[in-house]
Amino acid sequence: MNLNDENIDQLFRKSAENVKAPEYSDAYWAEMNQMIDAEEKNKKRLIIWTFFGTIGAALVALLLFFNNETTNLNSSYQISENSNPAQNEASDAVTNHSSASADISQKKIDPNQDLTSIDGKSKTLNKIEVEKYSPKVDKKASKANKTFNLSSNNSNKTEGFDKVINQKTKNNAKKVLVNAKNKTFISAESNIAIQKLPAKLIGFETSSETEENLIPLKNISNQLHVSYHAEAAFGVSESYQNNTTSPWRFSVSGLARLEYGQLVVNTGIGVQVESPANLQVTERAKVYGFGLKNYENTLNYKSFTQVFIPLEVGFKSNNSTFGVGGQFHSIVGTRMSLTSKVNQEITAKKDFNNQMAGLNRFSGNFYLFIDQQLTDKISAGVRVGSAIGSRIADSHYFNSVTNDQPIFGQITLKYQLFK
Amino acid sequence: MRYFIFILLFLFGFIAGCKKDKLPELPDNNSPVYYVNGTIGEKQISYEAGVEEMYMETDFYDLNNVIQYNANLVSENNFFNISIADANLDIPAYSIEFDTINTLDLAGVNTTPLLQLSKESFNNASQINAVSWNINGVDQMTEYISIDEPGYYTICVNVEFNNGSKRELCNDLILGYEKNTSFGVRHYINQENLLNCFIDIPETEIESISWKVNDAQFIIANTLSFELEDQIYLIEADISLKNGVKRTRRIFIDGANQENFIEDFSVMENQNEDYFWDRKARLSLKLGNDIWEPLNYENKIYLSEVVESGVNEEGQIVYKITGTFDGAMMNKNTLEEANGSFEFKLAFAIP
Repeated sequence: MNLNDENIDQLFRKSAENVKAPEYSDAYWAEMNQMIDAEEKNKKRLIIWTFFGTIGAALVALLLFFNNETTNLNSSYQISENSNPAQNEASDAVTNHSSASADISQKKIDPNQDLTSIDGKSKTLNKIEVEKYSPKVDKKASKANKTFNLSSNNSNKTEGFDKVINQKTKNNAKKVLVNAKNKTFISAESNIAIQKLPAKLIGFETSSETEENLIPLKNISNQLHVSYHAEAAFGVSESYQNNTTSPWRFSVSGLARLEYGQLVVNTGIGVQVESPANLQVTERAKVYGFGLKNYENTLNYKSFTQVFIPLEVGFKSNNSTFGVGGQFHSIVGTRMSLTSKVNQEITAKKDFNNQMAGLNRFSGNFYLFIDQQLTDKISAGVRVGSAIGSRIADSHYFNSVTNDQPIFGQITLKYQLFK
Repeated sequence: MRYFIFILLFLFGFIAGCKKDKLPELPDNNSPVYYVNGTIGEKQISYEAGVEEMYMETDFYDLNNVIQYNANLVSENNFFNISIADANLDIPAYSIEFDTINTLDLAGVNTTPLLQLSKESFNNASQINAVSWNINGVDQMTEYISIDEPGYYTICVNVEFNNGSKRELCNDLILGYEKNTSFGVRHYINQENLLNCFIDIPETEIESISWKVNDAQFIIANTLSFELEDQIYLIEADISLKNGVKRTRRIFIDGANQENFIEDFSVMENQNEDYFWDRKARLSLKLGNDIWEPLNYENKIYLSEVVESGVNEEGQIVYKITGTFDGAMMNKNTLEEANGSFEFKLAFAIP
């Protein structure tokens, strides 16, 4: 075959004639428009998330900063390292408080001595080699480039001893009593108050330089405060589709609240109703015969009833709790109306209950929350978040949903049932 | 927490126990069913029902009172059409049996007359002064008529006898299509002025003959016999044969002037038995303003598959017919000739 210009031109022309032009249909444009709308919606959502995420991150950072500031102000017991400027400052603190150290060196703590905290709880420290808790600590620690700055501040509030840190340095093993509840402790004999050692710093120190193990002085559950709450939440969500009413969300749940220091964890189970959902999915079929028949089953979900398991992690500060949370949802009931069409003409309409066609049974959401304690038992709060994952399941369902992961906001009210 | 799990399980159990109505299922997606692909000259043809406004149309049309089964793959500007003529016209209950057809001959243009009628066609032409004709309700201007195109014709003759009396008689004639049985109504009048009417086929083939005299039911018998009076008689025989043939034949008798009769001229339908259109096909292709038709009627349409595919919305049985055509074609507008080659799958319906 001679592929000169003329032949090539002819080949292209023939090929072009043989290829069918894509079929035009208004429906395709409609679909494309919806896809473009959805994409734009996603961009908006990204911006909103960035905004809320930044605020959330700022809140968390603020909270942490606030905690550190509090810790620095109250801290009288620090672990420092000479290689670190902060540790140098801590070394200076050793000098400044040499008298207190000297007192410590002269005292020995009886291993069987009861240590009584301010809250009246009596704790016995058995088999604790507190006698090693002496100026040797400072000296040997200094040799090992370690300084334990044992100082006291004006605060003498103590609640009890919670932990013994069995700390072994390279040169010497020593066990140090630490109040992990951000409180000072007092030796029964010496009345030396040792304030809190921030767990965070201990962790840093031990991981880098020491073999340090946390040994519970008593069962850790004693440190956890567990309480049970009933929660009601009411709010609104973005609509799944443009030009539809925003659905409201109402939920009730039972929560177990676990408090560990400032850390708060909520979990439990609840039921949520979302209505009017206005979530619409459409199943379509193109059936060729004498012509083309376009069949459509449009499922308009009016409401969802969902069981959910929440998990919230927050930080408690004063009477407020900030944090992030998530809910794992499972749809247990729906109300839906079906509209069947053939070539855009309605052929049937019917209402159905508890159908799942076109939906994922399981979904989740993620949110930021803030709770304010109003009374001993009642707290109110706000949560703002967004769904995670797609609500639409089957790929053969074309959906006109423009916002599959709507942002929602809820006002929450918690009532403590019992501890 | 245990209580929560119990509640959860209870809720799931409760919901799972609820009776759910079934959602109506949609039919499966499919590809175009009916199509034609091929070439006419250098032009590529590709039509698919449901694509680019093209759709499959099955209907029937009368051509000279004969049903033509029509399959039309059509859009606003284009079509590919095949129609097939009915057969067994003298058996009313008959419908064409597509599944017995392997090839379709093309219906050509007939050039030899299928019927020629004039005053001389009648045995008593000497008693007739003039005749005039009406074909399928259309008056003919001449005493002589000639019909070339096959069809089922109702032909009426208006006879002016020599005594000035005028009588009209109508009969149905099948021209250019095969007849299962050929016969005519004969009559004679005996010396006792008794009229005897019969059909000229063996009695064994007759199932029944219903005789009407002047539009009044007279007798159901193989023969009709009665004494004539001085009046005119329009005798009509509804004939049913055992092979399913049903025909109606009419004669006219003048009791007063027994030579002034009009015999059953439908027997003339057998004048030309060389050309039939039974099950013959017509093929045409429209491309914009151009209509192409086969040039050589010796070519055939070959059917590779005939499948009964169900019943359409009108309750008609639909056949899917796959076939090919290859042959010379002519543009009816420009008289341009080109070879046409097509593969098709079309639908034909049977009423």
